[in-house]
Amino acid sequence: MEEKVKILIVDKEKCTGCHQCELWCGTEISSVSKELTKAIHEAPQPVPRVYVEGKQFALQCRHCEDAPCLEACPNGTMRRDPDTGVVYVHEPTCIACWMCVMACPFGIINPSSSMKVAIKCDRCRNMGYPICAEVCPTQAIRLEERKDYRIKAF
Amino acid sequence: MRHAPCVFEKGKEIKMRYVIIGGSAAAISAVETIRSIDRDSPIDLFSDEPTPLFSRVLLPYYIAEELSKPLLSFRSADFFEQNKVTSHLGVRIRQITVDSKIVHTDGGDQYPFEKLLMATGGNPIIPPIQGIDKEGISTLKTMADAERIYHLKGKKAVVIGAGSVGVESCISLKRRGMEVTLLEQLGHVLPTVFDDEAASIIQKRIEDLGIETVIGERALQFGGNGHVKKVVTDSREIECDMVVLAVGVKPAIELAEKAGIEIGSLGGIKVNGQMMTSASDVYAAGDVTETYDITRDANWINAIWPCAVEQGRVAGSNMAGHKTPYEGSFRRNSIGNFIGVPAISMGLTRADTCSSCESGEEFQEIRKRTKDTYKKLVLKNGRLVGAISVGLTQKAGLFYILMKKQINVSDYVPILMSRNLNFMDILPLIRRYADRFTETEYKEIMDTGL
Amino acid sequence: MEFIQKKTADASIEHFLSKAAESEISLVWDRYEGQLPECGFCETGLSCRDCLQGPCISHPFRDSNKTGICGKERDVLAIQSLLRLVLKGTITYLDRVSDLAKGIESKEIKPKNKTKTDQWLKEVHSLLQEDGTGFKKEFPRSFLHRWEEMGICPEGITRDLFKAFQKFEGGITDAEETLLWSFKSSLLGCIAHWLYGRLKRSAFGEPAPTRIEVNLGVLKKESPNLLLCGHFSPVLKRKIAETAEKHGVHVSVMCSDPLLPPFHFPIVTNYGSQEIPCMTGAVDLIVVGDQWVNPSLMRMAKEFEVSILSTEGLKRERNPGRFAREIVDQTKKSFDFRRHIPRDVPEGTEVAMMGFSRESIPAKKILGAVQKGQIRGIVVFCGSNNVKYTQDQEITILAQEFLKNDILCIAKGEASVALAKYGFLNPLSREKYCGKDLSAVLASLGEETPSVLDVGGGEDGAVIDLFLEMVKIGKKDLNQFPIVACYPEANRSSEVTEAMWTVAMGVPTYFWPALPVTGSPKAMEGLSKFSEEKFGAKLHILTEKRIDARAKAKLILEAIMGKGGYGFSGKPWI
Repeated sequence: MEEKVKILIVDKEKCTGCHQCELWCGTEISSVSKELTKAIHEAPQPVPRVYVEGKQFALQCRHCEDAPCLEACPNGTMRRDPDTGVVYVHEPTCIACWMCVMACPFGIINPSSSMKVAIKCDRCRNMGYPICAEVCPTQAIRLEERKDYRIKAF
Repeated sequence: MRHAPCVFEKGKEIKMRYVIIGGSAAAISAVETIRSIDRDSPIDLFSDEPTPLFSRVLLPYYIAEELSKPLLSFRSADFFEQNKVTSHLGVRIRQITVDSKIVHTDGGDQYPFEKLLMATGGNPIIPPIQGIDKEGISTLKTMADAERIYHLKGKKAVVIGAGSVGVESCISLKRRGMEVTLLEQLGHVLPTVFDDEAASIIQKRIEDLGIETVIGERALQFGGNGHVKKVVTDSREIECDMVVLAVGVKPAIELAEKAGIEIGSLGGIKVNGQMMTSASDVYAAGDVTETYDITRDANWINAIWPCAVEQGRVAGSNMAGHKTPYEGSFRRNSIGNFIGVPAISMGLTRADTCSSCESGEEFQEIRKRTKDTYKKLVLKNGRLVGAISVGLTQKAGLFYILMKKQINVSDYVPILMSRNLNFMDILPLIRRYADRFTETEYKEIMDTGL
Repeated sequence: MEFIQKKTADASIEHFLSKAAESEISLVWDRYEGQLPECGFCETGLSCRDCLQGPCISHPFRDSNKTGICGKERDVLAIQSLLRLVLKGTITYLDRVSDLAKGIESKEIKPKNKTKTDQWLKEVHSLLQEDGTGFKKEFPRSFLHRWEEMGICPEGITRDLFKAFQKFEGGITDAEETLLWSFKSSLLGCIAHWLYGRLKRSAFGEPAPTRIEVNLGVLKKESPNLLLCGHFSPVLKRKIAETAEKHGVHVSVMCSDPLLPPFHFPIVTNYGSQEIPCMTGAVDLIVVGDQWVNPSLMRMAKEFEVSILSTEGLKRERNPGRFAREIVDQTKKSFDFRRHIPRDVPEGTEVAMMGFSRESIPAKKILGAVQKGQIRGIVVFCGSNNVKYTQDQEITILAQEFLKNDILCIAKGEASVALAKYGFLNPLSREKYCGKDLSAVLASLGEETPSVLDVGGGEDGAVIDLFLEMVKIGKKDLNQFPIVACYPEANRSSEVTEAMWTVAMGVPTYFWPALPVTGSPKAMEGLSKFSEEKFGAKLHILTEKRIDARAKAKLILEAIMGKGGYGFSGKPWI
């Protein structure tokens, strides 16, 4: 990837663990009704794609450069957008084999509550701006260019 | 590594010529990797199956009538065109001469190569059972096999072998409305994938679907005139009009053997740390190879889709000139939604029998069983070498990464067994081994100081 | 996130918004934008901070934190969010009535009707000290019977307030019972409010329809302006009015009762724009209570060099007469000091007839008109302003739609003021707004009858009296009449309490914005299906945020007049 990929960076100093990102990701992205008061009562329960667990920190898909989930998917459902570098689930072809769930080192891929597809953050590729970054009350979540830590062998 | 000489052909300079034998996971992965590095050199791909780019893993879904043929593809139909690959579909390679670096097709054509990838996969094992050549008996490996099974107008089927393919097949056939019996000669279903405890949960699920399971018995004979009518085992006769053989695969090494390429003790092509065989510039990847298994500390054949993809990637990378080490792999399986409950398994399933226990080695198994769930971790000298999870697959990827990076998890067992396991909880452990977690994504998280 | 593009429908307020933006003065609208997005858990009632093991949420999308640490389940969490508001609201009414009682007992004013005053004082004390039951004589049998059967009949503060509060401290109450406790406490607030009205009227006299001027233009440019804001003791207010009159100080009110016989006060503006009068430069001193007062007034006053005094300070002067003199003196001084400050007072005020009551709105006439079909229904407008809406827009559009459909509109408190600003309380615009039949009925009540009838200043319990009168005259249960309560812009806890008791009396209520119970299906059911079964009325909570005011009007009209609701029009109902 020649261009710098943009990813979601969370500032741990600002994250208060308030779960708002989970709430609005679940509502605006995962739910059918897209409205909070209706999404709450939906069955199956919407599955948010960002995780606030264990610490006051929000964890989204890292859109890894060498994505294990891409390798694990047996039918090309897991794809990478060549322009933005975003790894996403092409839901219509997902067969719910959970190979990707087993492959993600960050544990951010989960079965949907209906157990029909794998759910994963796609950095809101169909929206203008990632919803978690938009709603974070302390602006702890930012969309930034990925820093290159690796020393290239060549 | 010998630097490849440039080959001139009619005044046009060609940097490298790649030939790939095989058209499934490892081959396609290699193509993509090669093309990410080398955009112009020609790639010729030979596959003995005329149907390109379909995923073998999905064949049971096809039989169950849940996925139509187009949905079995794991790349778009124009993949070869997009990646400037000359595909030779339905063309068998008869012979390879490694000295002159030429592959010979069945039809008599010859194709020279600079770098060759052997991704011939595995052949289904056909057990020497009397009556095996009767009609109505089929393995399930190729698209042709799947079509044959799909069109068999059977009412009662027997599936021999309760491995992943066997279990998925019997459930698929049941979904098609047939009466199915699953026959397994070892002690429980999925003997190489799960342990007895997990297998008992899964077996119950299979039986709940209405499938008869016969465990611990071998098929001795197929009865019937011309068309199979029954399967005779140690203790009974099962009437049927269709048999699916799913007793396992073994690496398709005929070509390699003929070419004098070294075969390992387990029957797979031996490769070095860059996926190269004993013959220079000849690489191998996927189900046909014997590779280093991290959880066993020894070579093993892990004929699993993600392993094949990874090996194809490493082989392709090395073929295109980027020296990339293969870090080793381990088995991982997911029985998906066939049985109605997620079940995953990776690495060693049983501490004692799956590898020889040397002196100085210590195995530990930690299990937790509830009515509908089962979770087990296998540790060897504190390192995570195996994990099984039935009914709860959340965060299974965390086991994967701990296994892959060979992390000692002794003091994290309670966290790993907990229902609320999450990445942040094992971040301190990752930090302890920061030198192994060098990928950018980990650095980003570790940068936060959490 | 939701941003209200237009802040207010009031042109005179609009003028000051740009001024504030230029001078970087933060108003309620700016602070609202800064708060967005507001916490979704609290908005839907799925949060609790009652103890130090929390704060807890009930996460709708994760299973690990669906229940509070102590074990409070999601439905209980949501209904407790409601109960908290109701209890706060009930206490506001209790505070008012106890203040009034104390004020009257101080003998600073001479009560108009001494015997009645003493009688009502006794009732108030009985409510506050023992378990007051005096109201049972005046309330309809049907109400009492229903409430007693459900266990929610008000009994006094020890039961309805103290015990209700213990729900937050623990216990194994379920969602339904917590809801019933909410209704119970709200009814205590109802009684307190009703007693307040009775006591005030017997002490100060019955209000008659009075002509009052409304909007910023009431501020005088050439004389000292004393602004009374929020609720505080009417006795003190009366004293202030008397003293101010003697000293030529002009008194106006904001978010406070304008009718205090023998006085009446012009109204500067309503709740949502309470920070604006300071910006005119014409206000010399503000006296504030606690209820209805934005703490930002402190800063606004400082910014525009306005003196500000609270009647509720810890060490404030307790003698009303002395305090009033102090206030008026300081106003005059402040005026002298502030002569140099430029005045920017928008010209023009609106005329409003306010102070109708059950005497001036004879229930017999109204019910007769309903029967004849001249009036097709009755809507009671309550509520105030909420920054989540364009100020006054919802209520004005609703009123227009209702009036032209011959619906009799009654309003109280802040809702009246909102409507007054746009001429709905001006008799001259009656023909403009009202349908023909309604117009005729209103005209028959008097020449000076406007389109919308304001019943008292919102502190009189006059609406309750009206309801009781209708039941008495109409000889039917309240839920049998085509009457609906509507809160286009509700805000404070006292309004939540009021809505709850209105439903408990059998009047369907439409409440915006949605109460913080939307996260629990049981709570929603409790306020709709369950309430309908028990009271014959629902508390309608509509969660759509983008619904047009006209669509709201259509909804309510359909409910009153028929079509898939419990319509009354066309049905012979006597």
